Amino acid sequence: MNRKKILILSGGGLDRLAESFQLAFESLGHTAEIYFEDRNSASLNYFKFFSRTPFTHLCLKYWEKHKETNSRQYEEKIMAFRPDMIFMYNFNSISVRLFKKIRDIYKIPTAYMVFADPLVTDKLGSYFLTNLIYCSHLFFINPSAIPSLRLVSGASMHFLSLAGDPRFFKPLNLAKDIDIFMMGQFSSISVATVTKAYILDYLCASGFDVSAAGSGLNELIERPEFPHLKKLAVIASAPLSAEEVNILYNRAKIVLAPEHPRDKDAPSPRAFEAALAGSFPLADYQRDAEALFEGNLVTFRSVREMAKKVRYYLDHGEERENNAKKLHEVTLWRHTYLERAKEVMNTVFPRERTPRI
Amino acid sequence: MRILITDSSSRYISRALSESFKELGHESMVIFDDRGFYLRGFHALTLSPFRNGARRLLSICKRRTGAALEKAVSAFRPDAVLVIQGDYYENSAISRIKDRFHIPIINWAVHDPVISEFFDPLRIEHFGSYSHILIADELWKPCVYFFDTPVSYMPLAGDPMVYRPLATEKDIDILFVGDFFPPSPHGTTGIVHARVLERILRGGYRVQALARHRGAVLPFVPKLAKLSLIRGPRSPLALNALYNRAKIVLNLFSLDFKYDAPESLFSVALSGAFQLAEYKKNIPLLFCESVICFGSLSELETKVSFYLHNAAAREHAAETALSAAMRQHTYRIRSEAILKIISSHVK
Repeated sequence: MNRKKILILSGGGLDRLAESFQLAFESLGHTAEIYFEDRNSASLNYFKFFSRTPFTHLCLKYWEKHKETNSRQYEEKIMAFRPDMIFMYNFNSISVRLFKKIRDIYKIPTAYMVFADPLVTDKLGSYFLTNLIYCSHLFFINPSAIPSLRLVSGASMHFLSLAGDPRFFKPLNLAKDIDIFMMGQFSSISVATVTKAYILDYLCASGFDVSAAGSGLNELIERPEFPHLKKLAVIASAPLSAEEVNILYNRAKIVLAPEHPRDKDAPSPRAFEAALAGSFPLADYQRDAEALFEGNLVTFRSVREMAKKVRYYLDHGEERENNAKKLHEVTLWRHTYLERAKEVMNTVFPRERTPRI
Repeated sequence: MRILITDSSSRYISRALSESFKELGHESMVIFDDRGFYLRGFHALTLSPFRNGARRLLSICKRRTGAALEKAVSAFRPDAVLVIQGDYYENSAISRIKDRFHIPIINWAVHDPVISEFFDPLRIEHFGSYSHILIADELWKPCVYFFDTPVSYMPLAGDPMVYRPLATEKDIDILFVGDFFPPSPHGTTGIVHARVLERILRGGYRVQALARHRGAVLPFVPKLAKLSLIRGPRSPLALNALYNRAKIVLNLFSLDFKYDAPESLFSVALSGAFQLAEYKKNIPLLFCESVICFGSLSELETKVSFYLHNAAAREHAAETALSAAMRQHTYRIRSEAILKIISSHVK
């Protein structure tokens, strides 16, 4: 494939994902740059508020105006950088007008990596939807939204699973001094937080030694809905760097990796990370996980089954280690952002396919 | 058997189920727990400086709903309680009623459980307290199955006492029933539906719609100005009359349905009208391919053009779908299935 220039527009989100993609594109010989220059980002909170009131539709009108203002600097950047592809992730700052200009005048392909189901669960779903309609390529971590989106968007739509970054997540040969560990973000009471708390509470109530890290944990363990969380060992109640998370994965015998209930069928990013760290992830059952991890990811379908499997794998260290090794190999071979970057490039530029290294 | 039904979703589902239980020789009573108006208000307030007060009010609202259910159970003494959606019950109330009266409480989730993210994220945990969970869309299973509660797939159905063929003149070419800006979190559904209709209107077809909030999406979908709006009630009987007047009912679904479809799929089929339905994975299985689906806008245009001019093909498809719905998708059939589940829990 000829050397391409890729502009990554991202408002952040999942741990260093944009950076992982940037390095992956560069490893493939392309030039990639991350750019994010939103103005008036505080107004997003106003839109969020009004989107929950009967005045939601007014938001649409003013949100588009807000994006018009933001679009200027993005257009200048596009003119200066002259990318061959614009790759977007968690980005919602350019107007429909600029999207059309990129498509019809600049003729630059626009690829969007879609995380949450844009049709239902995103709190600003209808605004993101406008974005997706005008992109040329959409990559979904969970393909269930594709059929409905096909009704309104002519974009080429593909399944692109999450992955892990082996620069951050790798085996470290540390002593396994943590029995069960969960890494997460617990600071807002969302459906995902509640499910994670339910799982942790169940394990604590069953008498296991459970540890967790992530922002908001100190507040969560005080909630009356989860009385057994008081027994949880809180390693940190703040966000941790990828390197720190990797150390914790390496110290854990079992890493719990439940998926966001919204992302039906898609395995959790924690499953990829823990597998790359050479640890043993235990995940709730997701249909896609079987094929993605070639049958090596151990899953559970109920909290009772989870507790049984936790007991079993704590008592069978050798089997756990063997499984972790196999999972590490599969993940390193199939689920790194380098592989995902190749898939993106091969899809967007099909005539210049990158051979598998 | 005595079955108490409580409903926070659609009053029609619980009424139809109650009638079916009675027809099958059981006793049934319905109570409604719809406090959606308050819930939406509290939800908006959770983003404001009054968020703590809003959460407290929400909690009070749920406690009262739980107490009302307990009182109804105490008075009616049912053998089982069927909760439709159950947005307003705390798990403590469900557990208390189960323990006090030793009866199973079954929840039929008729909307994606993760939608509670918008109103009340803690609600997802409440599913753990039910004796059994029924889900109306197969893809919602991963949201609830890790609770230690049995989960069964139970698609929605229709009520043949309300939806039935009428000898009416077909004076509407294409009919759409919906809402272009439904309350959060379904705003996106409205926009998708508006864009689908835009494509049909561009083709020069005459579309009539019983739909609200067209003005909200007109700046984004200007072609909707050509839509003929029908004014009138949305009661099941009024809808049945409308379906019967249409040559084609364009059936677009709420986007939280991924593999299955809401009640309108079954209602239109039972009304004997011909429907062009948005493709969902399980529709061909539920109707043995007799409901005509479309998976893209070009397919929709082709099928609209074909069926609008082929009355015989339309009637044949509608008749086949009607007989499939009568055979497999009435609330009476669902009631029988629910009774079996209840029996497995009653000692």
